[in-house]
Amino acid sequence: MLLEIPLMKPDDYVGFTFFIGFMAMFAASVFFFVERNSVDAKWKMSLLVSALITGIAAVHYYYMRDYYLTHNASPTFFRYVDWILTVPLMCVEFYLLTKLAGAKKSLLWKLILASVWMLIAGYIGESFNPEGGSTTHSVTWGVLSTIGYLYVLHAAWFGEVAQLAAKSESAAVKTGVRTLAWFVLVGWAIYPIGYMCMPGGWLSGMMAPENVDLWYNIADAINKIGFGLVVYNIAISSKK
Amino acid sequence: MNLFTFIFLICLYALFFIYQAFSGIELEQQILYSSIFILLFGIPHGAIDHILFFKKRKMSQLKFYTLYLSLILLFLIFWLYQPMWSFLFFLVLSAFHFGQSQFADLKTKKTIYSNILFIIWGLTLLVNLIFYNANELNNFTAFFDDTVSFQSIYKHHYIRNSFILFNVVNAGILAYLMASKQMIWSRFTSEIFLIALIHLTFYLFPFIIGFTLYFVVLHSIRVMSQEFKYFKNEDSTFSLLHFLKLLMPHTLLSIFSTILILWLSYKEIIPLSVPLTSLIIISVITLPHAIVMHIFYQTKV
Repeated sequence: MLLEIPLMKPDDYVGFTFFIGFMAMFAASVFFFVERNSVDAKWKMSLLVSALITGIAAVHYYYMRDYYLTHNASPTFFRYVDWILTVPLMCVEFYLLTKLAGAKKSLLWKLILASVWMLIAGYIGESFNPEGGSTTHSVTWGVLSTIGYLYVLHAAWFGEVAQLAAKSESAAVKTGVRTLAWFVLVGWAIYPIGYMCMPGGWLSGMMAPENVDLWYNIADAINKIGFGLVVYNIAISSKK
Repeated sequence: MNLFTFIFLICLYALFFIYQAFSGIELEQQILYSSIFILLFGIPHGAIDHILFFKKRKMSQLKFYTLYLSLILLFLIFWLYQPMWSFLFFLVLSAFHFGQSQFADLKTKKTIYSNILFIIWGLTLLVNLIFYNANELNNFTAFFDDTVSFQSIYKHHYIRNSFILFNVVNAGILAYLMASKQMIWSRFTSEIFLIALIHLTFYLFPFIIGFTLYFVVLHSIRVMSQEFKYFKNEDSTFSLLHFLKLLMPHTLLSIFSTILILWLSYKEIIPLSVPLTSLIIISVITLPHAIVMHIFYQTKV
């Protein structure tokens, strides 16, 4: 036998989505890398970032898949390592798309800072929660994390990003940035819900931890690949 | 998503954490905090009805106030003799008013389309509120002798059917308006998102909290913003301070009168329970307000 593969139950939907997530992210990465050659030079960096987002996620999903199969536990550590790298990169996409409309470096750093703040606070809240779940700990770090999220959300819908997109001469950029803003609003909403489902969280009774992983996996795939596809669509539309 | 939905979302997240931190909010506290927010934001949004009316119609002050107060008095009398019908009328009137404030800026091909949307959207909102909180409303109304009769409205099989019907029809109307190019795609998605958010709010939070959140953020603040923009369009020097000064006299008068009437009810000088008295106060002031706002919206925004 070449590989030792643990027994997979047919109804292990979490394990199923870890495998699907890994392959989907990997395939998306290859796609964005290859397609990078078929878009205008000004979009090459955006496509590269898209490929990096799904590529980094694919590697982490490879580890998370094995961790889950070996320990039958939620791979919170790997998940946050993945998010801390990929979510700021998603914010970089906002900057790259609006750069032609005059986005400044300060916007890039503000978005990166807000997203890293959101994730570090979320990680402390989720991973260093005392045994059995402490409400005070969970709420404090949850509030701090949400501030970062709301900042990014505001920037994408009403703030600098939205204003720059509105100023852009490209209809594809306008529509694309608005679509990405929807991803932040709806797609990213699963993460605070997941946070509140952990022990000590307000919704802890609503969803079992393994189900949270199931939703995280689905949301991750949609958000990351979806983000990249929107960027790809902008690049392709602008070429026409 | 517009700015009001964003504020609504922030409040929703804040409530998530408040509920987590305090393991829920006691009913007495729910009533107290909700009353404060409704008095601070709900009352002011109708405090300049007289000014808005005179911007749109020519009428003597005496005639306007006589009509305005007569409507209040008539509805009050109707409440005392026909509470069930009054309550149902209030629900339908509120539904139209809520829908109208939500879609005041929407230009449809025919007025009838707008009116249908207003009423259906508003009824969807109210039916959702009742559907998710039917048990709570049943228990609450059963607590007072003079509100027991309203329980028949919350009968579950009836509300469940209405819940499905109104949500489907509402989504259908929005889809029709979008397909017939009377509503742009981004507005359509925003409205669907907002309805989903309202579902979530009414499902997760108790009746009073859910309603207050909608009423304050998505209705009252939105209406005040529309009123402010109207004055600002007329006079570019018009400031927030000017607006607050306009709101202040009738707001203070209304808050004082409301507290006085509720105190009289609490002391059993008025032979009605506090919840029923509150309901009557809200509904009788809603009637003339909804009419004035209808006139205001017909010619503005």
